[in-house]
Amino acid sequence: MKKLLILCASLLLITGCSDANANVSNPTESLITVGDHSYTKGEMYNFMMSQGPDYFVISQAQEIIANAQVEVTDEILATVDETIESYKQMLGDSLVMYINQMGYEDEEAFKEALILNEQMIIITETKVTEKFEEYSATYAPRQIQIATFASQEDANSALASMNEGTSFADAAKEFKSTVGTDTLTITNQDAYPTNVLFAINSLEKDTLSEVVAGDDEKSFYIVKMINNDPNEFTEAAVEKIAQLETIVNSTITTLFEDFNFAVYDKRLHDAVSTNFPDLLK
Amino acid sequence: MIGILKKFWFVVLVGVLFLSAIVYFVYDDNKDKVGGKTENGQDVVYSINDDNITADEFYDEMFEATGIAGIYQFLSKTVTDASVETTDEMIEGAKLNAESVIEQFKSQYGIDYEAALTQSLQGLGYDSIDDLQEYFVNLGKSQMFITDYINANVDTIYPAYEEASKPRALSHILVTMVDSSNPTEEELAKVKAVEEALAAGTEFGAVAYEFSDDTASAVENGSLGLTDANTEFVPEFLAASLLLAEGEVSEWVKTDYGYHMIKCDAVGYEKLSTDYKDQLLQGMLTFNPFIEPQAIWAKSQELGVTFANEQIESDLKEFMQVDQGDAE
Repeated sequence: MKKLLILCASLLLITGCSDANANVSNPTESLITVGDHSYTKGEMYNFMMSQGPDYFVISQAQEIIANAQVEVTDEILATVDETIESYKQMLGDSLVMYINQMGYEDEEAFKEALILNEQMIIITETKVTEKFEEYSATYAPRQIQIATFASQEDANSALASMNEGTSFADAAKEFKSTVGTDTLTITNQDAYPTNVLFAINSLEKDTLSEVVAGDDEKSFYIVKMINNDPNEFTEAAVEKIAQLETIVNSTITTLFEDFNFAVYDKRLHDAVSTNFPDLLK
Repeated sequence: MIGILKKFWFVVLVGVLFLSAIVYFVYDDNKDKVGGKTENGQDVVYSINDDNITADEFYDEMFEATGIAGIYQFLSKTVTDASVETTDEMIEGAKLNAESVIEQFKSQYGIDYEAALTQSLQGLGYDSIDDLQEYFVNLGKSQMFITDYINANVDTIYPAYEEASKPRALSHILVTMVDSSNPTEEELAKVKAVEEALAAGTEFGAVAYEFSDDTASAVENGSLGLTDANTEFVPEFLAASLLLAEGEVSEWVKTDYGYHMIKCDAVGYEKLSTDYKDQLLQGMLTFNPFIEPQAIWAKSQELGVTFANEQIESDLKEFMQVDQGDAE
């Protein structure tokens, strides 16, 4: 009976427990003293925990996951260096300002973020490759050429010219297509007008659509289906699907679940729950 | 045992139900609580892939990213607090400002206003809504501190600003035109009326009041207030305005808006600081954003400042753009 009473009392005591708040081991250590006022490590910790620690944690955790999954190879480093070089050429002396505006302390921090990005691309593309059949069926990747015209008359003339044997690119150029005619890999998530998406869905390989009016009826489109079988352009299809926001987010969510992400601090837990609700299970 | 259970079955039943209720109550009360974890006596913040990231490790990483900004915030707050006395007027003003902000948050966020306001305050280094008035008091003190510093050091701060940004008070008269390259007769008639009024000796401000199509400045006698080389005027207007000496009036300046006649009302610290004190201060702070950190640093030296280590001191000086020479 006594044991039972002790058990009941213990259980009731647990109900009085509050949420956990992790703290540094020496919170009273002074960092700076001005006159009689000191700023301690504990105060600094609380200040930093109020500055959006969730973004910091998610980025840090993502880095741990990425490093566990993908080795930082010379190839990755070369790609990142190339990217930074292109930024330098584009922005010149404004690069540092741009990097700071993006929220990175310096070029090194920016480089680390780019490396992480490359690692995440590899992870996501690997996952897409594993489920390629399923994702292909869902997102319908296609390779097309598309020309856009400001008038139906130009579009009709371009189509006639194409049907007479002029190449898609030459005819589009001749009748003033407002966009380039490079081959594009697209999915059904791309932001084309509804009529254009319908046309793309119905086209067979190496066929041309009719002239399709845009939703505003101010733009007119001609589509050439280069390839409607994703198995014949798997690399480009994987790359395209892996860029879809839904896929990127679901990959990150799965990774955090697989890597048993858990938070033991109430403030951080609340911040992550608010901004990254899918990452806490 | 079975005999006892049979004999006291009702008591046992009540006991089991009671125990179940307690277990459920405990479960329900704790199911959403964030549990803590420690490793080698240190609090764990989060774990991933069986790696425990302790608060100390997390602190070090975060400090690298935002720590110096936090130290500067403390230094700035402490120095201004020690340098400027809190007056009743400041407290009264802060109270009104705090009430106004709370009302704004209430109308913007409804019942969630407290959380939103607390989050904003925490970003500024304050804990809760109770600190809102203190924030405004400190803001007032900070503005007074920096104004006093600039006034005391105006001989070194203003000339650089004046040379680079050419601050001046301007007025203008605008005659709007549909196509300023091809004015209509009616538009040209208005241009002529302005010229005649000025030729007759009417004050520039009075002519602006009567004729200018820029209604916002017309009611202020054409005044555009304090401007400088960074003011976002159309390029033709800005270029013409920067060439004017005090009291000088430009020829007609053609822009996409129409024809402007510009007058330079005042230049020089003495006049500008009398009529445009706050704007002039802001102009100087925008021109040199390190005036404030330099002021904070100079005062902190008087109050006495010590650091936990050389790294913090060096990083803070770099953040504040204060070189080693200034520190000693």
